[in-house]
Amino acid sequence: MGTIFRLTESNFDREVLASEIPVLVEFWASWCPPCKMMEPTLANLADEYNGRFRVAKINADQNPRAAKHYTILGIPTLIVFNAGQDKGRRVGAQSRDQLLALLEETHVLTSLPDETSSPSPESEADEIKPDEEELILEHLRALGYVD
Amino acid sequence: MTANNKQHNAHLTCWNCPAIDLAGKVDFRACGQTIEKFNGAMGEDSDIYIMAECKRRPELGLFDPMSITFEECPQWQWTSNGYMLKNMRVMILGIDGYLGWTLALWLGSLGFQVSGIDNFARRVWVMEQGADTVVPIAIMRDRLEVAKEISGIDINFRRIDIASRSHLQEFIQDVRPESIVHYAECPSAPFSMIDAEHAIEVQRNNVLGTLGLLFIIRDTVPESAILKLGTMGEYGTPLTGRPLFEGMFPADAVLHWDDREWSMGGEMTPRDPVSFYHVSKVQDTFNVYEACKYWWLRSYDVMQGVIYGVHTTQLAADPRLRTRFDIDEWFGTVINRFVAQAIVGIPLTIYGSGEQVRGLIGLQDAMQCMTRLIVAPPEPGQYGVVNQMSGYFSIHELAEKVARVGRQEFNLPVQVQRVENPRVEADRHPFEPIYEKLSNEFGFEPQVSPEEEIYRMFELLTQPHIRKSIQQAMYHIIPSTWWSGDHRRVETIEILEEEPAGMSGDGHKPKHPIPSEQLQTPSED
Repeated sequence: MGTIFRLTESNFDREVLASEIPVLVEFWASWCPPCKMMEPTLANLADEYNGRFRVAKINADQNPRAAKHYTILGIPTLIVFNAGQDKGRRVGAQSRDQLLALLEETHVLTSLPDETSSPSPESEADEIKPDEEELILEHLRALGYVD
Repeated sequence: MTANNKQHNAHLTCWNCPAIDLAGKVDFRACGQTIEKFNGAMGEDSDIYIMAECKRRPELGLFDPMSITFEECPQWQWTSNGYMLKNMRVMILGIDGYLGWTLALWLGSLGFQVSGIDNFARRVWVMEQGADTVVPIAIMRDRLEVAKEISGIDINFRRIDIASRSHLQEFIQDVRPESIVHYAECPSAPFSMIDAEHAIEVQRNNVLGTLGLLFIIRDTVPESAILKLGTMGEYGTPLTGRPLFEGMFPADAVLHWDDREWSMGGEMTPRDPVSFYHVSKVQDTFNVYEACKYWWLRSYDVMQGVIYGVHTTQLAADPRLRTRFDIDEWFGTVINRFVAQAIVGIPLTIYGSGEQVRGLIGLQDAMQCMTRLIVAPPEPGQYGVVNQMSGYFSIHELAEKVARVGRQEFNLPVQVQRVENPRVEADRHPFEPIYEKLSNEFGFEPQVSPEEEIYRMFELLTQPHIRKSIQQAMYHIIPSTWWSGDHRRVETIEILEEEPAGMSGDGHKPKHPIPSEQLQTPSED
């Protein structure tokens, strides 16, 4: 299961604004049932997209200044940060597909080379990505061409 | 018992702990409510955060309640059920009942400080119908003495009706429980369907008792957890085959309409109660849910499957420590009734087709669940729901299980009969309960299979004096309370032929969920 990073006001700048990869931040509260139900969905995304973007959560009650600074009017609010900027948000529980749509709208996923971008035919033909290489090797092994 | 397995509650913090007082600004608001008011009160440069003070360790002063975990706190000690708050004070409402008394001894033996109230309503309700517990139970004074003398368990009991709010408030104020287990409800569907008086009595006791309790907790011990007993019957058995989620929809349950979609995450799943008793439990659900929202009370709603069984080590320590065991049509749960019928030679009565499916949990496993919930308290404002069951079976399968144990292990000539169904309920229905939280989040592992517990039940109930009680009570087993309002004994439809060994369902874990397509198969009934 992926790890959802726990943020506070004291590490927000370092972990979110200065992050080298985009961060999906959930402002949550313990009294908020939709926040609880988002947990497995967020954990799965964190797991699946590990290294491509981070998933983090910050308690809006414990960190009221951050909540105020980012104008949190409803809980849960999910914000995509990229290069230190608030790129887009959703309020209320979100399904996995809705979160992926948010990440696409904010160009987090479309900017990734092997996800939804459409590279030119040449580059696709020329470039063998590491996981494809492994797949080819596996195939060749199965056919007995390599050990 | 090894210390290497991570306990389910090791990562929880003072935010969950009932020993803290939340200091600073606590802002009660709903999910979509603006925090402008909060911001206004704070001012631009204000330093107001929610801080905590520990009632057990005042020397810590004010601190961030999420900074210390249970694993790190010396007040929380490692046990096989998770970290446990030293001498944690647990109050059981309805401590004289089938579950209440069992839990009192169970927790007492684990080192919890147990207190409880009861007004003995269950004894009265059962006797009013001319029935009685078939396992003899001592009066409360003797129960308390024997618990102390034999098991060293000291229980602080007071005779209080949950509706006597001033007395209950005084007792809670005095004990300051850190967890409150609420079993003080009338648990019978047929009892609530007898007539208007009984329906009103069940709803008054259950709904108003719980509502009053919530106000008392708000005013006296808001940091205490409420473990409120709900029932799987609140959900009903939707014919669409929609899974019975644990109280609320997961975030990936999506509503599609008009080419748009919405996540249902965190919304209450529909409830479809199946009697006026079940309606009272649904009403409780909403009252508790609202109290958590308005006042940051902390609650687990325990949606219990059909309970059965007689055994825990503590109950078996002395005959005077036994818990009650009802077999009558109003208070006898299905397996308990079947075992009693098998012992006195009445064909086990399955209502209608017997294809109705129910989630189940054994007495000892239910106690383990409750303990694990108590030591992992919900967070401020959290209304958590767990489906408390360890497997599910059709009523027919259950009858066959009981019949098999009776025939093979106790040499009893057990038969099974179908009788008219006095209830208004689907005979055949899909059933896909989700019951993952207790095992995934609370480390619950069922310890006792239905067959083992049924065996123990036969062992106890075949004792001559108990067999005699069952014989005296046998006429109360056959139902006569009809949901339609009729009062007449149900007629036998057929006596079923004995199934060859190994034919009916076995295994503790459920088989595949029963899909809605199965409904297409015409019933042979």
